Amino acid sequence: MRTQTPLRCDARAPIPARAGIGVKPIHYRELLSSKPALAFIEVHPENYMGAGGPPHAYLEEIAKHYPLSLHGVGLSLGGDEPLNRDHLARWRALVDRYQPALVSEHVAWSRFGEVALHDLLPIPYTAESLHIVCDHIDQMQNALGRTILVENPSTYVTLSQSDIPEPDFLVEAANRTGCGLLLDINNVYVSAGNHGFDARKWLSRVPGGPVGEIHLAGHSLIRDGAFQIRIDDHGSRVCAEVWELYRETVARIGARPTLIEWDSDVPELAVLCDEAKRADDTAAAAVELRDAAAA
Amino acid sequence: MLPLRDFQAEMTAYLLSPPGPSVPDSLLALLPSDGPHNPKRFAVYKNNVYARLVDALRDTFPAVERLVGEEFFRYAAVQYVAQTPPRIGTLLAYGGSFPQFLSTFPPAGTVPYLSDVARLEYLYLESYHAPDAAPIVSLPSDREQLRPMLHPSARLMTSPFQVSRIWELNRSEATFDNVTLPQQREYLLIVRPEREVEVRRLSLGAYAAVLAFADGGSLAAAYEEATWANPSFDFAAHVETLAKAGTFVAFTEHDVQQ
Repeated sequence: MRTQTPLRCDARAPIPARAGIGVKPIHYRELLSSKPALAFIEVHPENYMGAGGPPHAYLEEIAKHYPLSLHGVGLSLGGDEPLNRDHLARWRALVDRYQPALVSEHVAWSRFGEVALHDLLPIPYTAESLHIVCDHIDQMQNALGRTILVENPSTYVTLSQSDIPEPDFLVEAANRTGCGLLLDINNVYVSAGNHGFDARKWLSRVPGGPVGEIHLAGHSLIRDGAFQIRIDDHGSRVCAEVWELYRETVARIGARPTLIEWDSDVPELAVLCDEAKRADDTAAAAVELRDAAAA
Repeated sequence: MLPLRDFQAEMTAYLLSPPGPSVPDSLLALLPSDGPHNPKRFAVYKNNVYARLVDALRDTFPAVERLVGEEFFRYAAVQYVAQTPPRIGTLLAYGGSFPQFLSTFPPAGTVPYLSDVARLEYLYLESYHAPDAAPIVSLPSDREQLRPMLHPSARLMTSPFQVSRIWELNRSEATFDNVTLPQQREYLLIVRPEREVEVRRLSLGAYAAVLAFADGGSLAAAYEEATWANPSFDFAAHVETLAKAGTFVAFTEHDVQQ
């Protein structure tokens, strides 16, 4: 029997359907002194799982001025093994302490046996893995006492045993568990390039209802002779094609809280804010055009 | 059809095997077609795993990296990662046994102080993430039997080398003229009374006293230790200084150490 946790966007600070940014320690001081207009701030909870010290001191201050989104990368929802209880307890402590407006994790695995691999690894999309992922989402939602969002991963291999299309797998997981979806449009674009599918068709299979957040990021293209692959390194500005997919998605489902994600070669705060502004402008234009067409 | 468990077991073994081009046939067989580039697809994951873990070590051990250079550091870090992958889902405490690894890593044998610098950097990290606590800066009077409780961020270490000086010179990118540091033992207290971690050089007597406090000793017991280490040690003045610097968070009458 599944326990359904009602969808809620937090008691303390409901998150507006506008753009936020992911911040790193190098941004703390400037963020807190200049307090740019941003809808929310997203961080990886794994970087705040220490007992005390500067990370918590800064996050406490940030949380006074911005709604927070905690975006996990280490729980291994797609792992065959039971969720790691200690990790889940650390998650719980952070959710209790910071009351984030959004909580999310990935449809991927990162742990096996005694080892934490610290990467978002692909799962085959099968009835077996759907069952496991849904059990883990239930477990996480119950442990945290709230609804979570789960994100589509970027992938470099497709596994031949997959017999459920990726978007259908995600939507079915949301239907079964009541969780929401974090739609990472860059990930769809990266995977589409790597596996030769149509990103537009992929996105069109996801209804707007469960989508609670959108992620945008940059990626890189690696060429090795005839072989080329898109690497989801979050190390540059969002590319033109992903902006276009974002515009189309917002035109279809409406605006959502949208994150500018940047994890390698992290630029100064102003660049992140600039990308966030572009996301806001793009979403606003898309909504306006849609409303004009509907009128 | 391969059960999820078996796939994840095989993938984990591959990811943690030493970096190299070969991908087991059992994994390649999982892909829908026999592309000549399939091993490169799996290699992206392996590169990601190693890159992330090596970067975590670089973040924690910047002075070690600077002392041995990027290439050597990477070489050592990759071997360490292969031997000692993380066990928990946060990297905040990864690398606790890296100093020990360096001390027995033959290529590092020419830099005898390297593992002590690594030890200091790891204690710095521990202190950085340790629980917060408000220091008590004034000593209670009539206090001989009181046991000062050290700040939860306090860590102690001693080294036959001037490890804190080496660390200070190498923890940032700043350049400096070559210096010669005579070999001289250091006694260090690493502590974070407020937001910044401080690395303090102590005298032998002060170190003996703080070590006694760390063991749950009273002021009287610490006095014995400190003056045994250094008979002319000015115990009262030093304890006052330690307190003012935010070293203590409580003074208890009973043994609070487990």
